[in-house]
Amino acid sequence: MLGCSTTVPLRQKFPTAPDNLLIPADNLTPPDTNKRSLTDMLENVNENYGKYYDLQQKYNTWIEWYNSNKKISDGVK
Amino acid sequence: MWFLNFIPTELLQLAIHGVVALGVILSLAGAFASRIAFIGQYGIAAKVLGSVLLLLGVFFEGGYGVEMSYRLRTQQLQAEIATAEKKSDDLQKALSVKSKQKTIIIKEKVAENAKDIEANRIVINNGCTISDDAWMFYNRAVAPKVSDSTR
Repeated sequence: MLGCSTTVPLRQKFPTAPDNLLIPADNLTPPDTNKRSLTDMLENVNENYGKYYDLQQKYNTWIEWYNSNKKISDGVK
Repeated sequence: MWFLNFIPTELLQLAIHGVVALGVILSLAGAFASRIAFIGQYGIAAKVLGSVLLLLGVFFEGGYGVEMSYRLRTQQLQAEIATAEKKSDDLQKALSVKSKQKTIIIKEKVAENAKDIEANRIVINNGCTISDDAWMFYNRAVAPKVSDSTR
C-alpha cells in the first residue's frame, strides 16, 4: 500500500537530434534546358552526386544517432 | 499515501519510532498499572491503547521500509536518467559537428570538380553534342520518382 505511493515523475526526455538532420531532403537539380553541352550535363551530374553523398552521410548519421541513443536508453534500468 | 513524499525522511522515521515506543510504554504501563493505587482503573484502557499503537507502529515500520526502498530506487533512477540525458546530449552535439563537417567537405569537392569541368570545357565538349532524346531521358532520370508529402 505504501510502496505504491511514489509521485516522483521519472521520465527521460526524448533525445534531441542534430539540427542539420531535421532539414527535409532537397530534390535533385534538373538540367538547364537552355544549356545542352556535355559540360553542362557533367556539371549537373556533379551537383546531383554531391546532393546524394550529402544525403547519404546524413542518413548514416541518423542510423548512428538511433543506435547510440537506443543503447543509452537501454542502459537505464 | 502520496503525502508521505512531502514528509522529510527523518521526521517520518521519528514519528513511526515514536508510535512504536509509545505503544510499548503504554502496554507495559497498562500491565503494571493495576498494581498501583489510584491509576489501577486505567490499566485496561492503557493496555488496549498501547496494543493498538504498537500494532499500528509495527505496520508503519514495515510501510516505512518499503517507502524508503522506493525512495532509494527513485533516486537511483533519477541519477541514471540524468546520466543518460547527458550522454545523449553529448552524442547529439558530436554527431551534429561531424555531419556538418562532412557536408562542408562534400560541397568543397563538388565545387572543385565543377571548377575543373569549367576549366576543361573546350576539351570536354570537343564538338560533342547531346541529342534531344538523351536530354529527355536524363531529365526523366533526375525528376522525382514519388510525390513528396513529408514537407
